[in-house]
Amino acid sequence: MKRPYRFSMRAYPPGYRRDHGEELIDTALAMTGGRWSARQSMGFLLHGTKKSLMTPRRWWGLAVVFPVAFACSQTAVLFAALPPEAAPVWITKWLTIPSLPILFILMAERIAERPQRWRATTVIWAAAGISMVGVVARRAESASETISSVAYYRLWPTRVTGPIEVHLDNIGAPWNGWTPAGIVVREMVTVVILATVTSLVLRRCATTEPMLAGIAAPAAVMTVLIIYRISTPWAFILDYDFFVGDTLIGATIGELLFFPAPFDPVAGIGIGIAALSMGGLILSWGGAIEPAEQREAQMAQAR
Amino acid sequence: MREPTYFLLLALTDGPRHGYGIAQRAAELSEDRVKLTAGTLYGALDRLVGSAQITVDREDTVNGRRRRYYRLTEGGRRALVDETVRLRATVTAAERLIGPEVGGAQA
Repeated sequence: MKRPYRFSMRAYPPGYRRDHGEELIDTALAMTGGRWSARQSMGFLLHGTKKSLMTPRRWWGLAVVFPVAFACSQTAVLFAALPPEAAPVWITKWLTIPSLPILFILMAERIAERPQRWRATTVIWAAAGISMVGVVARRAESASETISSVAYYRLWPTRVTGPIEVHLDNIGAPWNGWTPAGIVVREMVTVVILATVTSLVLRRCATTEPMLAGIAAPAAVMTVLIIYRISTPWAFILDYDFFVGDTLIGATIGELLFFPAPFDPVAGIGIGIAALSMGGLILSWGGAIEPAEQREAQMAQAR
Repeated sequence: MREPTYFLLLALTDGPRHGYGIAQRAAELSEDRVKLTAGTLYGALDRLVGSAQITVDREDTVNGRRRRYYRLTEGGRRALVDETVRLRATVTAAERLIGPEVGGAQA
């Protein structure tokens, strides 16, 4: 009789399910005389969902909200504030916007819960990032980027001018010595650096200083991205900024500081502040994250 | 304070109880008006623990089943007394206006 209840218990956050799941199921069975009850199952589904949405550590909800908010802001910038010559570059950012924030949020939770396993988490993070770079690079070269750029070009031909127009006729060709493959490798290396730096920051303060972690971690990400941006200048004028350069606000700030022409400064600063505040809010909401070992030790003591 | 919360707190006035014990006692005290599912019950208990009105007294294992016992805190007792005073004032006001009818219904 426990099986159907276990199924509806899946609505609860994993940590809560692990700590209290069996007790809840036993109570439900005691209430119904050992029989299955649809009312009890519905209760688990409803309250589990509510708890999941209201539990700050169920970060997947926020992990979805974050890139959606980011995509909206980028879209607004694209149509409202961006100079026309950069439009095809920015429209392709839809491809990669969700990737890094989702990883960042999920990994932050993992590191905060198991700080001593930060190395393994960093490896997972970097591997996932490298895979995404590969996938996005393939997609960008083959179809999506070309389609979106060309579609935009056809839709607003007068807005696409200068080097971008030339580039649209030569997608895949090297530019100023940068080949697509070279940039992809550079992206992958940057992902590894990015994951390591951010892991170290999160490990240091996510469990004790959530607000600091929320600000320091995105700031670390931005620093890495800005360095990347500075060290790879011409690549970003073209459509080759597949993953890292596309995704987080560091790219925007870097662009704002070092390539002011293709981006609106006010929009860039606005998005930067929003991203930092959001990072702080996400990590500080609900207070410090208790490491799993500490929680288990407390439970053992209570028993 | 909502009625289920009131009866959950009331169920703990005579000592610590585990989840199912609280649900049974609350149903008994409310003459079966408060019949909670396990999900609702533990949601409410978690909320009350969060607001420091109750606390986990101890945990034990009976027949391989883990049970947490909850007890009322001083804050919880105060909230219960305050709510009871408020309910009494409400009843007093209502009785002044519709006393005879209430008396009739009771009879």
